[in-house]
Amino acid sequence: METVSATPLLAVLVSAFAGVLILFSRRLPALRESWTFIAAFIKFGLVASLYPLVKDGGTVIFTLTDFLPDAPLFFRVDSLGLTFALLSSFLWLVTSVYSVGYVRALKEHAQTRYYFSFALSLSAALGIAFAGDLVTFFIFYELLTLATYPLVAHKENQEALKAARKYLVYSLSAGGLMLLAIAWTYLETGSTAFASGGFLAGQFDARFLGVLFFLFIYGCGVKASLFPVHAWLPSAMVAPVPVSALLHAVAVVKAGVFGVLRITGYVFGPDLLHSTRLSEPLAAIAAFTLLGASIIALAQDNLKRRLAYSTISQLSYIILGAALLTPTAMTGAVLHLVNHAFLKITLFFCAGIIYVQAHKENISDLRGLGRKMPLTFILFGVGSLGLAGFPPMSGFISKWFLCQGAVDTGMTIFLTVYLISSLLNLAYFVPVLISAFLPVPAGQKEPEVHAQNWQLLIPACITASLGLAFGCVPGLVLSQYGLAAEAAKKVFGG
Amino acid sequence: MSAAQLPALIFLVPFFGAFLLPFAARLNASFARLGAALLMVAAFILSVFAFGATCHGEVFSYAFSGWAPPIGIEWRMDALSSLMAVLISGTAAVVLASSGSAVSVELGSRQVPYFMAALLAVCGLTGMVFTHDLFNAFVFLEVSAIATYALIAAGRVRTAPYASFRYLLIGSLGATFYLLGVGYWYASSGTLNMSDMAARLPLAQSTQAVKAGFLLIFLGLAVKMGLTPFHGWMPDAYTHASNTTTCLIAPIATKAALYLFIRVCFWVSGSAMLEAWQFWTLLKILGTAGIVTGSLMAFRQTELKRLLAYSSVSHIGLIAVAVGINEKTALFGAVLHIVFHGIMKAGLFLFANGVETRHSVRTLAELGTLAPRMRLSFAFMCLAALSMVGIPPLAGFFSKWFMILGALRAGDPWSACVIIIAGLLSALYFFKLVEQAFFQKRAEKAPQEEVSGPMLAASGFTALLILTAGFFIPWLYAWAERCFLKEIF
Repeated sequence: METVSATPLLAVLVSAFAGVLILFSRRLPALRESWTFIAAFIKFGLVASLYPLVKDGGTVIFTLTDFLPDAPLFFRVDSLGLTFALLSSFLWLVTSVYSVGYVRALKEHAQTRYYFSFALSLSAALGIAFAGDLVTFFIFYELLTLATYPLVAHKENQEALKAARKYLVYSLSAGGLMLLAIAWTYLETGSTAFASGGFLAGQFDARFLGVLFFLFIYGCGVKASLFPVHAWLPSAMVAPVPVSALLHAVAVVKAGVFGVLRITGYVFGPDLLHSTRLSEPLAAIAAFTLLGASIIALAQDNLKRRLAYSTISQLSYIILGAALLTPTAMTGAVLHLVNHAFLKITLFFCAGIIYVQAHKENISDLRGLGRKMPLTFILFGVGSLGLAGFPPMSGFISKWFLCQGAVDTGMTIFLTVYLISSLLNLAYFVPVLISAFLPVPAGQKEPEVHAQNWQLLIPACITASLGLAFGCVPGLVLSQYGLAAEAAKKVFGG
Repeated sequence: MSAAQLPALIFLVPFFGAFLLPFAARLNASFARLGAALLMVAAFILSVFAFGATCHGEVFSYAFSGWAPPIGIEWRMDALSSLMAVLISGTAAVVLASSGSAVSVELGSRQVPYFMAALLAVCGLTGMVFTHDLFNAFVFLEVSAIATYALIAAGRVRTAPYASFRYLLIGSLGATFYLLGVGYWYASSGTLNMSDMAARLPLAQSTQAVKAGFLLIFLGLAVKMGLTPFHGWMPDAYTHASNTTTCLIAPIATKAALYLFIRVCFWVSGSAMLEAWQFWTLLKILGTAGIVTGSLMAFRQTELKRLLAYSSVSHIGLIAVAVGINEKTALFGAVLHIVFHGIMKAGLFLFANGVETRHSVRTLAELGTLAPRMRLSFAFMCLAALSMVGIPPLAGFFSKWFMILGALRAGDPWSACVIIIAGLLSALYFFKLVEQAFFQKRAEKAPQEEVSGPMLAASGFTALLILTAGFFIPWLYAWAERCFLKEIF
């Protein structure tokens, strides 16, 4: 069932419009920040209003403009896109609360630019989620790069500028390759519209499918921080914590993974990938990234860097899920896209709280903090156990489906990879908790901790409890599963 | 007034008007600038009429003083030439109307001759665009060039006359090559009229002479459009000229030469002949060289105007590659980029003009302190820079897209890669500019010291065009298809 509605466009534009208002109210901080909240509420409301139309397999369509013959630019909201949109618009709301608290606590400079870029990034993320064709997808994909660039460079010191440059070089080169791939696709097939199950089969010269797949995966892989183009993500950790939350959970890397799902499921299609065996190298790279990043994470002492490598590894869970080409694995991939976001953003929020209240960034310095700020570390525990896949946290459900998918393909190697990596997850998260709850060694000073900041704690509580709820509250689990299964059902035809 | 007279009017209004400026200036000193701006606005309005009259593929021929072509000089107004006229007169009108404060700072009492030279330069470019006669094109090439030498030499810095003299030497050499080439062709065909020439060239007895003639014409135009390795005059000329001059000539002068080159290639010699000579490969190689040298040199610059000048070298190279692909869609992309690049460069040079006039800032390093004081100017500059990189949905993205599409359609993936790399290389130096401008530690509270109102309006206008260009793309594609793409391919 197709509905024609301008709601998707409004949902995309509302934060861009808020961005403009933010620019014009730079002298009134209170007004400036309220624009963010108003826009975030409206945006989430608009996206949520699409849910009833989409949950039973319907789509919402809105044509933007006729750009090329037979290839209009349009939005089409389907269950996969809506999942991503719901996720990012909800997390924007939570992150905004946290942002205001964080930025004020640390008296950051250039706050107007910061909120403006944040709002713009959200417009871009929703545009990516709703894009119905490759060109629209690309436009918002590039806009996302652009909108997040000032955020990575926010600190304006040499390190931040270097990280931002690195981010640009990686992302823009990926964008270039993707543009090439899109133009090529359009020429050969005369179409750029996403279609469940892919539209390339029989339309594209089989000899060059591999090249095209490489171009597309490179294009999305940079944002999804797939090995060997992942290096920008750990460098980008110099940005303020809410920005890391945005990069890791709300928009950027999720946009990359979302792109991989779109490319495998809606451009190439599982049948074509299966018959050409193109998915196998992708699966191999994803498996390698998954394990490699987990092992590197073990060696990181800086908390945020450890989280960054954990993200790289978790994203490859999703990519591997997409590359396994079974309905169960795809369902698991979509579920993990959401669950990882809630759990990882909790971890980043906690890292930020630790930084604001105790000015600690390294894991080895955390001794004694667990007793001073127990709630923070309990939330951190929820996030880390969830990511390691412990029931009843949500990470368990998505990992269960991913493992099932690996079993379905009969390739036990991937099942082994998933399981080993989950153990590694524990191995790099548990020491954080242990060191926090251990007493301070004799002869050392007790760490000093500022007063609890509820503006930072409440968002973390919300995301952590959702990370828990999506694993054990039946209503939530089922509606989330419904969207994911719907997407998988369409892609795999049946 | 019939539409057929429009090309002559577009030329004659500013041409005769230029000689009235001294008299106007006697009444009031500011009338010289106002008069020049008004004349260009009039020419712009006429050009828009011309564009409207030709947008369904109509072609109007105008025979000067009644001598029927091919004996007399013929001017032709078609879709492409009126588009160029709109670009040229529009840029000139915007720049001259907004340049009041800059010109009075830079030129003081020398305004009257300056504006006369400016009008003559623009007239020369208009003539190049409309003429349908190869020798007549040479005349206008020289008219615009000589006026431009004067404009560049009028710069405030002591090196300006040297830059002008250097341009004069190289430019005259180019013009001579062009003339020599036209001579070869005249000897081979016995005509100077473009259509006539196109019919007769294939019948010429000596293909060697035709080939030599074409190469000489190409050499001459390559100098004028600043194609690598003939771009040496450009960075100095753009940097040392007065700011208004750079704003005026940088976006359009090289474009007129490019236009003439496209005319000669596709309307006179015909693309098949050039294909046989493997000329397109040569052009693509030179274009690629231009992209690489231009970008790398731009990256090394510390002076804003010099960076922008080298960026022009790189983008002229890009357009040359797109022309060299010799394909319908790619040519459309090239034409789009000629127009868009003109608009973006006008915006960027207006910015450079503004920061120098208002704050005497010439280098990138000093820019950082200005951003909070000139928010709007910096925002417009940022848009233009991003569009040059080809970030969607700004104008530059669309021209790039059609060039890539054309390259792939022609079975030439290497050119497609070159075009993409050109975008990335542009990102290299434009993000350097953005970084210098926006990410420097500075005082948060600073008084606003914006450029003058008209100048801000002018750069705002270019930014608006860059932002909204995407909406016109489907219409422009249909327009190009019916007006000239079908005819050539």
